Amino acid sequence: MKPSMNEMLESICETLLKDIAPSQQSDYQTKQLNTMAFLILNAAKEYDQAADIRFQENARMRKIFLEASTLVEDQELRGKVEAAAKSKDTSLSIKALDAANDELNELLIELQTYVEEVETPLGADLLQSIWSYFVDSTARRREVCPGIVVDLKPSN
Amino acid sequence: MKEISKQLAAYLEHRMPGITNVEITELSRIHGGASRETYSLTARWRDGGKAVERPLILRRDPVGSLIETDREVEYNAYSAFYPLGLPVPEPLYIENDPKWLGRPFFVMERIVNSNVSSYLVPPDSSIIDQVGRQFWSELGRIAGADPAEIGLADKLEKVEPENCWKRELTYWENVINEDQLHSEPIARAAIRWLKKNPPPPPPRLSVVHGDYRTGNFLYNDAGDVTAILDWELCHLGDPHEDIAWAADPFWSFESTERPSGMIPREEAFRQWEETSGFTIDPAALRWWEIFSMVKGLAIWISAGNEFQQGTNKDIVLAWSGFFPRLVHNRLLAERLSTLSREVLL
Repeated sequence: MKPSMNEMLESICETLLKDIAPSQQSDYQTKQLNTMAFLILNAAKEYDQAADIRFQENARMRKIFLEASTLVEDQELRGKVEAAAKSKDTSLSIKALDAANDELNELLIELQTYVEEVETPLGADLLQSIWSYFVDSTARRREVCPGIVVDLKPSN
Repeated sequence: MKEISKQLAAYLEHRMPGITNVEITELSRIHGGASRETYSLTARWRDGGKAVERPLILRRDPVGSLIETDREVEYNAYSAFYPLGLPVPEPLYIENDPKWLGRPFFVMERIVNSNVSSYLVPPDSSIIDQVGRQFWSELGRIAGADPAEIGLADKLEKVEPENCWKRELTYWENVINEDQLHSEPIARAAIRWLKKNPPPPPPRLSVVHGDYRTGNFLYNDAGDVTAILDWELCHLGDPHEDIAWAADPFWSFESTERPSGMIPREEAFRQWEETSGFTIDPAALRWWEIFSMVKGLAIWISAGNEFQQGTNKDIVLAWSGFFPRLVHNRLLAERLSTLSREVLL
């Protein structure tokens, strides 16, 4: 789609920041608009990468589950892990990807809790895989720096 | 705004019988007060033949809040520390009856000729060291104060020193349990680590500010800290909790070298130790640092939940549930990943 959604959103953000926010009479309104502009800027970034981030995360978690399936001795957990390893994303809508992501994350919590008690080299390796995944996924979801937009206070 | 002015004028007349011609001017809402609606104003009245003018702050409960807190906790903290000369505004009136302004509120002195500290824009370089030293030494004074002597021991929930960590962790874990909008695997891993590796108890209980950081104090152009604000999370506990929160990398653009973006870490902590009379225990501090990231996540999760549920549609809550949550998730993942490599998990 042209003009692209992120270009439109970035343009809205720029207008808010340069034209509308500075002309407000109250400092409160200006800062509220700046906050909105920041959120719109992030929405623009999300528009481009949201599906890919979730798709990649889900794939990575399934890989961890595949790696774990030989390690887990608990039958119930093993069944869940094997099933999750074989699952696939059937829709690329954000809603569907988020639902799958949430489900896989819940299982990952269960698996990590289990593996933390397994004192074997394989268990240690799997834990490292899980931590690498967390570090990588949070880095991929890295936020747009708010410093370029506005000074914000989360609470006061 | 006109309605609030009128209501507040009526309230001040009620609290100060004998005054007349109460007028509220320069009323404006201060941005960011998601845990309380905060208004700056000037009140003028006549007392006998004398004209009185007072810059004030009104803190009113919001419909929904970033953190559900008791306004009395904050007001009591101001009341306890103001007479000690700690830089806090003079608390004036607290009102729990919603008939006056629609919701409970309190009124305090407005500190003038001061700048709001910011975690994005540090104080000017010519005064940053002085502000930084005062920031840490004032925190030391809070930690060093005897809660019983200043009248807070009976007003804050009691806790045994060995249970400080458990009470705080349980509280914030419950916030996550109740408010999470989706699965939080990093927070859950951190909570498991915190439970498996409890900190040593503090030598004695202190007053913990609960939200001591950049953004929650004022300073003047001479480099003096003029007010420590936002005491609504104040409680009795382990003083390492406040150090860890103030030194959380979120408040310093992720720098661990200069906590809160001001003086170097070693100097900051030395300043704190000199005024508090405590010695920082590295094991305790490490625990409270990881706890701080979990607490941060809980606050941001709770804010996002308020917004999502529609309890409070303040855009600051949407921002809080989005940006700081991502940062704290990332910082926590990096920290715990490092710990796991050290075979501490």
